[in-house]
Amino acid sequence: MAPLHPGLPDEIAIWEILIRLDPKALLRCRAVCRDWLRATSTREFLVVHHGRQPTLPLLNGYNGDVDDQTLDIISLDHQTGLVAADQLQSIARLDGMHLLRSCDGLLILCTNNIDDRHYAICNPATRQYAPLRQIDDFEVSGMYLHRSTGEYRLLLYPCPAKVRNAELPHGLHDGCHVFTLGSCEPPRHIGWPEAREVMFEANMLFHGSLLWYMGPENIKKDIIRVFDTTAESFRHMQAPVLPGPGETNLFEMDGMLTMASCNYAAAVIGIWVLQDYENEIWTLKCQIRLPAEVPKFDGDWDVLVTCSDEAVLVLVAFGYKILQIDIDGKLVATFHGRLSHEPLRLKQSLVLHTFFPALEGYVVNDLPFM
Amino acid sequence: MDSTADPKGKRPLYQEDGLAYARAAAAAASATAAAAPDEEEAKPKPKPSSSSEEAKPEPEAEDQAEMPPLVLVAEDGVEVSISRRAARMSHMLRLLMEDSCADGPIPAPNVHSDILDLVVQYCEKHGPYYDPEASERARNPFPPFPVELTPTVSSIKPVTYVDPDPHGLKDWDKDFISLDNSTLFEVILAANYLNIEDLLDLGTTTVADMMRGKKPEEIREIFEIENDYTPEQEAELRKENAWAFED
Repeated sequence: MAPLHPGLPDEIAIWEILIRLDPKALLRCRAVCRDWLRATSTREFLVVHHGRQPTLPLLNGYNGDVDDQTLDIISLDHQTGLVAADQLQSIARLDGMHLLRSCDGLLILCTNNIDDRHYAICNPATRQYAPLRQIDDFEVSGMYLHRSTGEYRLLLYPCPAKVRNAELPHGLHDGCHVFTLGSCEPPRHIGWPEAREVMFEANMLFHGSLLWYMGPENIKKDIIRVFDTTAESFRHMQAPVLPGPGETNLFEMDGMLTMASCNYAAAVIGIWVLQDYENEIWTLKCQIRLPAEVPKFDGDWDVLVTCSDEAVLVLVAFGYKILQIDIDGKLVATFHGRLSHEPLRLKQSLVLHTFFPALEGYVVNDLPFM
Repeated sequence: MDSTADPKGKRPLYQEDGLAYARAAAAAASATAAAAPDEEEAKPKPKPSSSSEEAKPEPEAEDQAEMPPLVLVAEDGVEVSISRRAARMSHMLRLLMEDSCADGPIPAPNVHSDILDLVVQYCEKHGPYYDPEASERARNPFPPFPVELTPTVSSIKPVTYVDPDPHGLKDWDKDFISLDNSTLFEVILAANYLNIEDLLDLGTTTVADMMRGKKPEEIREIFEIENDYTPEQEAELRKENAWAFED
């Protein structure tokens, strides 16, 4: 046994210290000695380690022209060290890929290749990658962890172009489909063709349901579409009645569903919390006044509010700058970069999911990882 | 993992051995002190009867302030006293106080008095603001999946809307924990033995922060670990996760 320190037992070294490290630092620690390699490679350790990782927003990491594009996976994590004073470090770089969806430590990508456009799944921390050819005829609406089975699943909709031209491949029904990663079975039809309206909107996973905020611009005002991943059914939920238009996004705070709405003109962000889940009653929790460092709104802003490690993060992006603001409206940090088009978030994981090697074309530590 | 491991993958909150040892030692010590009428300590009574001569300590802060401080005995025999309010921060001491085993000297056999002084200093500073309920919630393990969550279960601490650090404890902690590695490890061990969650978190987070960005050889040096890989094995490992070893 080679303990951390002659006096520090494994239960502290492994379960209190190593378990706090981000994947990059943890992988380095595996090279320290064999005991550490063994102890930090068990599934039990990695699952708890994943649970303790922060869920952080991903930035827009595209480099170069559409024809020759690379994608950096950059999360808003200052802990792992900054490349420069305000430049965040990339976790991984991929060649010719487009980032679509994220769930826990997994990313759904789409190849940029016009001739052979297909989906793929990857884990940037483990450098695992696999194409998803079984879903070629679909669009990916959402990804989620199915709780009772522990399976990662995709919510799909038949590719709209094909549906419009009535060219659904043989046996394919209109409506939602569910596909389990690593399964040999084709996507399973579950109905709900009317759910088409939400299929291409940003969504978030909250306590086993996928949520889409339809917004006041939508015909059905102020509602949230909910997909129950266990019952595999859709329903509506009341959204807060907002005072005016603005950029909104949903996130989770303190275990409760929360909505942030940014009033650009007034430079104020309202935070609404669904405190009464059963009766769908929202409460205005607080308002965040944006600091003076945020310029007057000129139509080219992006605002994202999220919660990570019990702290609310307000990100205001304009030009090539991202300002990070805390719940008191104080400027905390400035970064170079842009927010990703959708509010995608990453919670890094070194867990080796069993579905990866089961997928044909599976690679690790190879292209498209650069 | 040992048999006392929490099924959800976290360590047990306190070490059974340490608590039993402390209880037994404290009971033996107080048996020689002024006799207390209620010596049926076999069953820990949360609400003691009021008919005893000696008022049993209740684990509330107000009462604690009036009770005499606890006396801890370090490995070098030096006695260090700690107020009852500060002692609440130690899960072990809290249980001893609840079980009324805290009246006599309490041994801390693996902890040197210098370290014990530091630990007590931390507890005295944080003690007045300490809320055992809040800490319990924060310690909630992240369960491995598959997981059943109901909307009422919260796995993160509540967000505060006022200044989350009104008493300037964060800055104080930062100064407090700037210790040399050897002392830092001793403090961690002591916090582990006495089961002071917040101090254990502070210490281990500091160590984790120290490790980030360091090369494996640097980490080995700090923690005096021998490299038991062959050069080939180490090279293979580095190649497998090449990205982690860059810069």
